[in-house]
Amino acid sequence: MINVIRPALFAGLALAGGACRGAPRFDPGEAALAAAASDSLTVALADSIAPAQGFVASQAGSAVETISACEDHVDSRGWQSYASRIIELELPEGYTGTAQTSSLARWNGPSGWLRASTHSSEAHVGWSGLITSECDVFISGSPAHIDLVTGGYGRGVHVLIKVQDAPQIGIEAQAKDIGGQAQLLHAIRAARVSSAWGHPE
Amino acid sequence: MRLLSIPATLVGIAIAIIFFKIYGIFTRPDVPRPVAIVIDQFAPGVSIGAKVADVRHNVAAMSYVPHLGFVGMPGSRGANLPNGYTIRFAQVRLLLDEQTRRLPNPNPAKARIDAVEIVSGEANAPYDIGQAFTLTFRRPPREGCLRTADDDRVRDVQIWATPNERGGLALITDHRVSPADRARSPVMTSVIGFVGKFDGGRTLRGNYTDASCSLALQSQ
Repeated sequence: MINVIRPALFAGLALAGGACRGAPRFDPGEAALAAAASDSLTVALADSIAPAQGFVASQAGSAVETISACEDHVDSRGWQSYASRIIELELPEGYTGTAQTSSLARWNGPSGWLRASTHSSEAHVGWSGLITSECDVFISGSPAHIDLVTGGYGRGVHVLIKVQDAPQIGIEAQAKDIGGQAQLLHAIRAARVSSAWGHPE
Repeated sequence: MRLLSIPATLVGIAIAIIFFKIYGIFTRPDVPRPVAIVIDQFAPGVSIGAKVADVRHNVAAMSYVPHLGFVGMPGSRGANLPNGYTIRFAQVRLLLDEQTRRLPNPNPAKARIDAVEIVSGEANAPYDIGQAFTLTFRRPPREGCLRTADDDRVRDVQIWATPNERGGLALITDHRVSPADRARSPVMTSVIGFVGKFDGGRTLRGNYTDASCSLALQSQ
C-alpha cells in the first residue's frame, strides 16, 4: 500500500508545486528596450497626428512650423472675392489683380502672390522647391493635387486641377510665412473654376 | 494505522489541488470578459491570446516593432462607448511576451498576442474612456505614473483589474500640468488590455511607479 501511495504523493506534490511556479525571469534590459520602443512609437504617432489637429509639429527638439496640405482650418471671414476667366476665389484683404488674360490670372498681396494659368504638365513638373506635404482633393468638383513647398522666396502652394473637358489649371502661390501659406492654401481649396474656362472668348 | 493516515491526507490534498487546477483550466475563459469586450470594441477582431496571423485582416498596415510587437491601424464599427459616443483610435499594438519580442522577425503564425494596446489622439478620450471603465468595473481605478525618457514628460496611469486579478485594463494619458502643455501637442491616450496579475512596468512596457504623477513630480 505504501509503495502505491508514495509515488502518487510525490506526483501530486510535484504537480501542485508546478501550479505555484512564478512568472518567467524579469529582464530589466529587455524591459527598458520595450519601454523605449513604446515611448518612441507614441511620440512618433503624436507628431504624425499633430498637424491634422492644428498643432505645430516639433522635430529634433526645435520647433518646426509646418502645415499639412490636407488640412484647412483658416477663418476666411472678411475676405474679398475676385474673379477671372480661369478661377474665382476669395483672398485676404490687400490683394489686387495685376494680370488678367484668358489663360493667366495673377493677384499680388501684402503677404504673397497667387497665379493661375494653363498647366499642361503633370503634378510636380514645371515647379521648383522642396515639397513638405502633398494631398489629393477635389476643387470645384474637379480632382486636384496639392503640394506645399519651401523655396527661396518663402512658402509655396502648387496645385494642379484636372478639369473635365477643359485644359488643366495650374495654380502657384507664394507666401512669406506659414500663416500666409495657410491662407493661400485655403483660398485655393475654396476656389471655383470659372464657367468661362475652356470656352473660347 | 495513524502513520498511514498522514500520507492519505496529503494524497487527498494533492488530488484536490490537481482537480481544481484542471477544473480551472477547462472552465476559466483565457481573457476576462470585460477585458475581451473592451478590446473588441476598440479594436474590432483583435483579442489577447490569439495568434498575430489570425487577426491580421483586422489590423491595417501592420508592421513589426522590435522589443514591442506588431503595430497597425485598427478597424472601426462605429460607436464604441456605452453612451453611444465614438472614440477614434489611430493605432493598435499587438504586444508580445518578452521571449518573442526579442526576435528580429517573429513568425506571425506562431506569435501569440500577450497584451493589446490601442492608442488615440482625441482630446476627450481620457475622460470618456475613464468614465466607461468606472461604469464597467464599478469602482475607482488604482493610480500610478509612467516615466518616459524625457524627464519633463510623464503619463498618468489608471488601472482597473478584475476581482481575482485575472486581467485588467490600463488607461494611460499624457500628464499635462499647464494650459501651455495642453496647447503644444495632442493628448495621447492608450488603453492596454492585459491578462494575469498587474505587474507594473512589466505589464505596461514602461517605467512605472505606483504614485500618481502629481505626487511623483512633487517629490522631485
